[in-house]
Amino acid sequence: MSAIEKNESFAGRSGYETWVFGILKYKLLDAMRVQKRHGRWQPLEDEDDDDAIDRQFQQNGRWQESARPSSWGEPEAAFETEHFWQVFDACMIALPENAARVFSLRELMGLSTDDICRELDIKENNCWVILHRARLRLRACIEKGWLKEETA
Amino acid sequence: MMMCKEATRLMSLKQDRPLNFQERVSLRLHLSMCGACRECDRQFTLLHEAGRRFGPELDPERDDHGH
Repeated sequence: MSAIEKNESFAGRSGYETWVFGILKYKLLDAMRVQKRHGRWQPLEDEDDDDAIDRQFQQNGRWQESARPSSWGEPEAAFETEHFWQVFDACMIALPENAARVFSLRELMGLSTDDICRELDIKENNCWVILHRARLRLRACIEKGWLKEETA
Repeated sequence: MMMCKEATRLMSLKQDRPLNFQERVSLRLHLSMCGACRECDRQFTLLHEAGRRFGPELDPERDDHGH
């Protein structure tokens, strides 16, 4: 797999974030190549796993006390921390397949949701729902893995 | 009155398309009263920036999957 080749070429600290995105990119492209052979992307099966999201909120729609977002500090400072990218990477891998795919196309490759929907043959609304869940999962995961350790 | 969960939906949507007037007003009103959601909003923006930052290095090789 190209991700493994990438691993071997990872030369050091300064390139870590590039390496992370490189892996995500190749992972995604691999998936695309496989899907392309079938003429079209596999339909996005419904992932009925809203649990991870619902656990962040109370019944009335307010944040659970344990899930309330805290400050991550200045983005630039976070981006310069290698640990942030390690956590980001781990959290991306922990995302459900569909969420990771749509999030990568949108945020890493910068495609519009309109393009993504055409590519994946899903409704744009579905795309927004997937992205909303992906972002909530990512933020919870990153906050747990990164911030907690930063302040420890 | 919009609650946090719904507010996060608009925060996410905001990263993907411009909000309409009504959505913008509801979100702003909620954010003005909710510190946790303001953090969440910053986090979604940070995730967006994180991806964009490496945009130029991520040539999606459109020829490979397009057309």
